[in-house]
Amino acid sequence: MIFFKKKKKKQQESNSVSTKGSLTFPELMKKLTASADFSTVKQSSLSTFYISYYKTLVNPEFVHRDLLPYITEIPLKNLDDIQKHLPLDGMVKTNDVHDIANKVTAGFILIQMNKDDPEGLLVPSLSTENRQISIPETEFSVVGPKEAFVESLDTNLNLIRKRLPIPEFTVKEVRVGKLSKTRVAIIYIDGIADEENVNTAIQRVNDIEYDHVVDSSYINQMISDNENSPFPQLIDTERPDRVASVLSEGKVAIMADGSPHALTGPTTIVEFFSAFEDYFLNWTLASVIRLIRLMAVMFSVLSSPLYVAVLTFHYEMIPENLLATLVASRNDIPFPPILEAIVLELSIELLREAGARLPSKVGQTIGIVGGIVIGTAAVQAGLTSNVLLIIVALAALASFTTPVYQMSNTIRLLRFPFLLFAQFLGLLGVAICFAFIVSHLLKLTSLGRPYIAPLYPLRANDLKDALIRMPFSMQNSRPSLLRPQDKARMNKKRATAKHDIED
Amino acid sequence: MAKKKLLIIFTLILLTGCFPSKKILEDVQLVSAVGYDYKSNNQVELNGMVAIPQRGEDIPPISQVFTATTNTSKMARALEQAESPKPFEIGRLEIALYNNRLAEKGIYDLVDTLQRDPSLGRDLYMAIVNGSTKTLLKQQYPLSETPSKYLLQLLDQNMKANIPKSNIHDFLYRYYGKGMDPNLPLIEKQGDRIRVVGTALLKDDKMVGQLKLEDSFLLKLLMEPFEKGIYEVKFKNNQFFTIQNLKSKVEYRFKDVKRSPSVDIFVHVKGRVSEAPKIPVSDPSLIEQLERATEIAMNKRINKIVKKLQKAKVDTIGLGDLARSRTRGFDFKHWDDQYPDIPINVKVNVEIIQAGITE
Repeated sequence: MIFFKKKKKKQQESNSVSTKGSLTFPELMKKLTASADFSTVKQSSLSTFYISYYKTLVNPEFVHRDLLPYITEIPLKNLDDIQKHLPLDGMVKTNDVHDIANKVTAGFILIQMNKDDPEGLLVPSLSTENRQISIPETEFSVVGPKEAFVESLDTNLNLIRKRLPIPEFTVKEVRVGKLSKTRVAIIYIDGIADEENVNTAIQRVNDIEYDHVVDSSYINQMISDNENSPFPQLIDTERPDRVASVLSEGKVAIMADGSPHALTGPTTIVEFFSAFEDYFLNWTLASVIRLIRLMAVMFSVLSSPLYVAVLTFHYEMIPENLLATLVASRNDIPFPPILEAIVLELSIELLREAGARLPSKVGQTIGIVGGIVIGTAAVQAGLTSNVLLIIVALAALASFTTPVYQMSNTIRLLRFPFLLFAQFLGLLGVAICFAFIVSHLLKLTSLGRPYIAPLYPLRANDLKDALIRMPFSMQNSRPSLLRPQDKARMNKKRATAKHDIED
Repeated sequence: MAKKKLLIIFTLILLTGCFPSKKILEDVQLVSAVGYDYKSNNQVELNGMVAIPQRGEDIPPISQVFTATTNTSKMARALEQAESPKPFEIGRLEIALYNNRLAEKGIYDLVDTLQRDPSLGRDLYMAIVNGSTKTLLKQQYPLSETPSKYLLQLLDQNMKANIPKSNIHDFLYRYYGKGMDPNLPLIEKQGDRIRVVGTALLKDDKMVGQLKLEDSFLLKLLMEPFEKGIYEVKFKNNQFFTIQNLKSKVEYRFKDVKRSPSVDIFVHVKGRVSEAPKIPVSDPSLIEQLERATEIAMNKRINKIVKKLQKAKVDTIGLGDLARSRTRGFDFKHWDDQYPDIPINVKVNVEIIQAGITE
């Protein structure tokens, strides 16, 4: 069995770009000045010193208005004097070359008395361009807050923290990525979130080994329990209100700088089918909508496989009144049902993909051209039956009702194995494929917690906010799956009591 | 590990031979009705009706009949196959018809091949035809697209109101069960209509008698609770009125089953006067008279039907089975011997609870 064994290549540490190893100060300055946007200014009005910084990272207004006036108008002998006179915090005096290298590339200004002396004062002055906070697009809701995360971690933390103004709200920060050194924040409420969950999250993020991490979706894939599963194992949300709400349940959130999304976990599969808007509606409405969504998922996954299975193997199952219509529409089609279904499913996927890659105005045209023109033409040309066209279109529509984008992608993908099994074994095949998926889900975990939790292992108490959403007065305990340190959300008695004005 | 993987792949390749054969809907000829006609003592003519869908959704399907005469019905199918463009599939069979001459000889062997077929449902309708099933199936009926659809709807709605419920499951249950005998609807082709003319009474699998449509309604009252149907009663001086059954219930009481049995059957009918020309139904005292008149008329007729069943030694109601279920150490032989002479008293209790919205 020599073919199957591959000798593991020795992992090569790429040290060429990392700041590890010995580096002297002149070498560092040589590297820095190689960039066109690095500037070193010699100031010699009353006393002489050197100011070096990246013009593209530092706010020039800050340098001229808030830094230079303070240090040029008074005679200053050494760096300690400068540090005393500057009305700023976060300054560091160091002669560590690595520290200087890290800080200068992160937007600090280096002040030296002597050009070749490694001792310098580092003054923070990072200026970043931020997008305005806009309305959520992938998780839009009609009622409720209209704020979405932006690409700045600090702004995002501000959006969450103002919703949870308590000292227990804790942010742990880690830097990830050899090149990108992305700031990643692990957020939880101390005293509610289970320590084990928090430690798992921190450890997983710490263990990330990659050169650049540009988005939280990288982290989502890197830290998920099973990388090969098509099912997302952490919820990806752009709503600060949703993050605040799950944090108070005892979950952990992970955010990366430069990413307008937060990851929350441990999560369960039912959570992927609940939109945050469910909490803004009356519980009866929200529950019905959740059930409709769940049926839409089943329909989306199973409808075209069932069509193939029934038409290929089980003609006995077709309702009497539908039989004539079905046979009539199938009569002229040269393909067997499976080819017909795969061609249609793929063309819907094509349309979707084309729509997603094109600017939104052109995207609409694609929808109309694809949906109406190709659809009608395909039926008239006798390539597909119109019954299947309806089924496939409805299934595609149903797959879009899933509120979490990643999950709706998974659902679209999931019907293809079902289709193949339906073609080979009919309804039995559909059942076998279902068994495969259920057993996969049973094995899946999210941050070490069972993925299909309130259903299996059954947590009857957690069902109050799973397939249906019970009223707020009954949501008196946090989900037991998360092992919260503080189980009770509120006093149930006081929550259910309705006071009249006389009381 | 690698060996295991190879083994799995190898097994999967071998297993591809085990895939079930495909029966794609439009590539098979679905038989929707079969009719069996009497040819000679050993030979049966099998008529299979197929509905051939036409191009386009608005055009109704055309029905065609394939005919073959053989000794066994499966062989007949093979002969018919010889002139069909697509293979026959019997899984969508909706109704099986038996010619009355054939039914008098016994139909079990023909039903047996249907019951063995795994692709057939248990809700298949069966009926006995006065006359040839071939001409009945060949006719185009203006009332429905195909004869099979016509028959299906016809039996479906009549079994709710006029005739006892019966499909292949009921037939076999009553055929195999002790102390009961099957019944089947009796139909007839009249011009371009098909008419339910009554109920065929079977002893085992042989037709031994029949009841008219009005009597079938009364038989249904004796057999099962139901909520439909109309009965006409004669009132004094040539006045007639009709009672619509709103809810009927039947109760059986057995006495002294082991030695000299006797049976009391109580039928409770809650009804509505649906038509009563020249009778002022809003009068409460009159209602009571109408109730009495109905009870007397029904009692008289039902007792006649029961006598007829006893005389033919058919237990269509299933009294033997009912008696067995209530008696420890029940002896079928004793019961069967005595059945024709058992005093069976039927008592109908009619309650008129409505006389229409004008009352």
